[in-house]
Amino acid sequence: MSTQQIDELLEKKYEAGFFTDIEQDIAPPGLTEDTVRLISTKKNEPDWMLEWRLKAFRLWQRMKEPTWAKVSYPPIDYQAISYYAAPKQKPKLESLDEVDPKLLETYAKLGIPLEEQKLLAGVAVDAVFDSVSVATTFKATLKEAGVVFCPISEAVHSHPELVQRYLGSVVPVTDNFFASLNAAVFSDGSFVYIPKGVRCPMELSTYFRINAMNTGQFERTLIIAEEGSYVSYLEGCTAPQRDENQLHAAVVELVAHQDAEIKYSTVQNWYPGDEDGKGGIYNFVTKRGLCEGARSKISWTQVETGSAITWKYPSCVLKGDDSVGEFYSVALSNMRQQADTGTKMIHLGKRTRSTIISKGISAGHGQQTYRGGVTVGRGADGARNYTQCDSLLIGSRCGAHTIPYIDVKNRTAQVEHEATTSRIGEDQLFYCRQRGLSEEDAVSLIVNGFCKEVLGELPMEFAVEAQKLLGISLEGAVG
Amino acid sequence: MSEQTEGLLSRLGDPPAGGPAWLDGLRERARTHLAEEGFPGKRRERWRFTSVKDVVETPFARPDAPSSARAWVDERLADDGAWRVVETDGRVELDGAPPEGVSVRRIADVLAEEPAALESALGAAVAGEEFAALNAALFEDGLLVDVAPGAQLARPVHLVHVACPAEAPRAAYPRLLVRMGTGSEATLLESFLTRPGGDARHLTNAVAEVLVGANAGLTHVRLTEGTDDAVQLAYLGVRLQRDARFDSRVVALGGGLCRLELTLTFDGPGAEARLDGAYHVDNSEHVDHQLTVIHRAPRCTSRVRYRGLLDGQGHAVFNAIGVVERDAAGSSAHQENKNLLLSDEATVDTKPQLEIDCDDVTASHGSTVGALDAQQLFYLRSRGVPEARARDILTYAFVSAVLDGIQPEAIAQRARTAILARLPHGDAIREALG
Repeated sequence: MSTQQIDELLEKKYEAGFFTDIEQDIAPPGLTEDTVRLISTKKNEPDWMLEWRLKAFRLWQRMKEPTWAKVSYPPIDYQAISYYAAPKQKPKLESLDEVDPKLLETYAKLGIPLEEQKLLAGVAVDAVFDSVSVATTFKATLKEAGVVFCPISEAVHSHPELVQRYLGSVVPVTDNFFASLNAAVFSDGSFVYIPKGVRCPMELSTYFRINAMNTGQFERTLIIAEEGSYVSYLEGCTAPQRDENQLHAAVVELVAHQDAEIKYSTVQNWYPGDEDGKGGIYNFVTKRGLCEGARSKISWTQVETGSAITWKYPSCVLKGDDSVGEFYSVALSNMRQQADTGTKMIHLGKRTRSTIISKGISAGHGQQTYRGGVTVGRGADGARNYTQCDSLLIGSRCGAHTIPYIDVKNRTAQVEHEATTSRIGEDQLFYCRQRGLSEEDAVSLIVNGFCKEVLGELPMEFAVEAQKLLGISLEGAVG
Repeated sequence: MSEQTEGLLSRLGDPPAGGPAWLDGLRERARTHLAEEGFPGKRRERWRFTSVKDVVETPFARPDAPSSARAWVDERLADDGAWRVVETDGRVELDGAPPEGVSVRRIADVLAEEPAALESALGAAVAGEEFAALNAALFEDGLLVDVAPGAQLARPVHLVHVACPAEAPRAAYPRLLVRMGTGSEATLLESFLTRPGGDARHLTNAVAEVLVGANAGLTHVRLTEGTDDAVQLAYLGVRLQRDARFDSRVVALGGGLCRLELTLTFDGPGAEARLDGAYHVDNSEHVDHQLTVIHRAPRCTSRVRYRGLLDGQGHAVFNAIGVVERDAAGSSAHQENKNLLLSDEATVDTKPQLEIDCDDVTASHGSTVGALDAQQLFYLRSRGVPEARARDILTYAFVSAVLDGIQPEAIAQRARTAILARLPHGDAIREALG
């Protein structure tokens, strides 16, 4: 629950000690080779890491920002961004009374306890979490199992051979504009290594990761599951922020070896901007998993309710024979939100299978695009894909678009794509209303039913939260 | 202007002179467009899978007054009961009187006699871009079909386009304009054939525009029988008024490169469109269909259903865009594309796309790529049909289904015959089906 936020606040507490004015000064807005060197130096990185960053940076300089997505936003000035700084510090408030009442209302609906509300809203409170002990308990359990779970900046030092081998192996520095930018300037992120045959004893999430660095705007996650291992990773960015437009360009790389399984769940609720589309996060994320070994499996589940603009296509490269890729997504765009999201399933191995279930909901002036690609290579005998993407429209000013690319080069492949677009049925609404539900509750109920297949894939506590989020995000969309 | 574009435009020579001022303006705009934008490359989304590099670099020349293909056509095609018009490399021959209720004229004649009659109609349904601009810049003749208000044509009109390859590359720019008067009904068959001749490449750059008036209905069957050296880059634009009906069946049988861009716009409420198609590729053939259906008016219904058979190293591209605009409440838009891969080296790229800006709508699309249905195969085998024959029959049935319901039957039969002639074991299938 609200993991990212809590995490950030926890970290800020740690950082307060050495996050001095001087540091702020030496990373002024702007991006040059010196910025990249500075980040690398700050992190005390080995030379190969710096070289890698510089290579990415030089490539990025020659790249053009992609324009093919169905989203529009004013041009981003990449020289106006500070690349080595915490996300904008919020002014410390003295009590809940000073917090935007709208925000508090939202928290109350999410069922976040009061103390936590204070934390989330940026009110100065004494430590409510014994973060150190929480962390150590978990760390001990993980260590026993042999699982490595640490900030990627730490892994560069503690497990250089792994980082060197896998970093950029799934999303190369040349991949795309935002991925190259991330490679050049990523501040931190998570590193997970599950050894052979280990079933990770708990669901990993940023919630209990103790991370000395800020997770910044450019985080990078690398998860490696060795032969026969299993891990479920939760990524939460689930509380509204009050920041101005902010660029968030993350990269996530997953590698699953033979018989390994990675389950990656995201509930994203970055600040979407206000009703007029002012503010909000630009969420430009590259996520890709490689099913390297036979019978490996990667499953992406995402609930995207936040961000002003989402540009995100968690993908699977199904290289190992009999490997499996899954993508379950709910994306909601209300107010002036724009989401261009979907997945890519690249079938290379024999008998590889993939399933795509995508549910898009547009309300208000929201614009929603599903963009998906299913590619079956020449050698992918017996590959199988099933895609279903449904869109729900609420109100007459929103848009829903579906763009599925299907490229097949193998006769034994079986690829199916189905999509529907409709609005909430008058009869369904009427039925709920005459049973005494308010119109908003009825819509929320119907929308949750529409998304059931996806929400069912989420770990329990995430699913509950996601349902509530959907209800809240839709407020004001009806009538 | 890129070298390529400049090269092609200069080789093609000046636009036909002597037309009315508005036509000169249209041609000039088309040339300016080509000069500024150039010909599409693979970076243009709609051309991602279809390369025209070779086409643009080929030194196509205008055909020098080709000999009429009328006799060749009559010899080749059985009488299908339709009133036949033959167009040879862009030149139209009219023979005999058309059925009652329709006026069929050469566009060149109309331009000479009463040019104002075409001013608002030419270019109304096909935007002058890319290769449609090339046609606009260079077409000389074509066919104007006017169906009188309330007329019900007793016989279909059959327009046969004949490409005549020569020793050097040639290009033809056929143009067709069909206007259906209020409440009229007609069936139009268009066939694209290649008369054997020289070995050089041949480009058919055809543009057809169909304007269907209120409460009128047109059944349009479009059949292309391609050859390896034949390049077809064609545009079909359709606009429907209130309560109009358009029933389209496209059959594309191979060709070195055969591409059709079909754009249909609902201008008035309550109209209906059925867009069915079948394609077959073999060897290294390339067939590309780009469909755009724009729901601009309320309560219109569109249904797209295309099926493809891919053999050899053939490559098929299918892209359909269903657009529902803000004011098109009560729209129903459906798309379906199914493909059967018959060989290890065939490729299909399909993208059924929906863009919806209105909430009162039912829209769906589906697309599949796969092999024959195992249950259907089993059924036929259980009835004593050998497996190989059962496969042939199901394969044929898969594509020929798009011709169901076509009236008169002779027209559908003509298309079926063409499909059977293409398929392996076509004769055996015909026998098996009686």
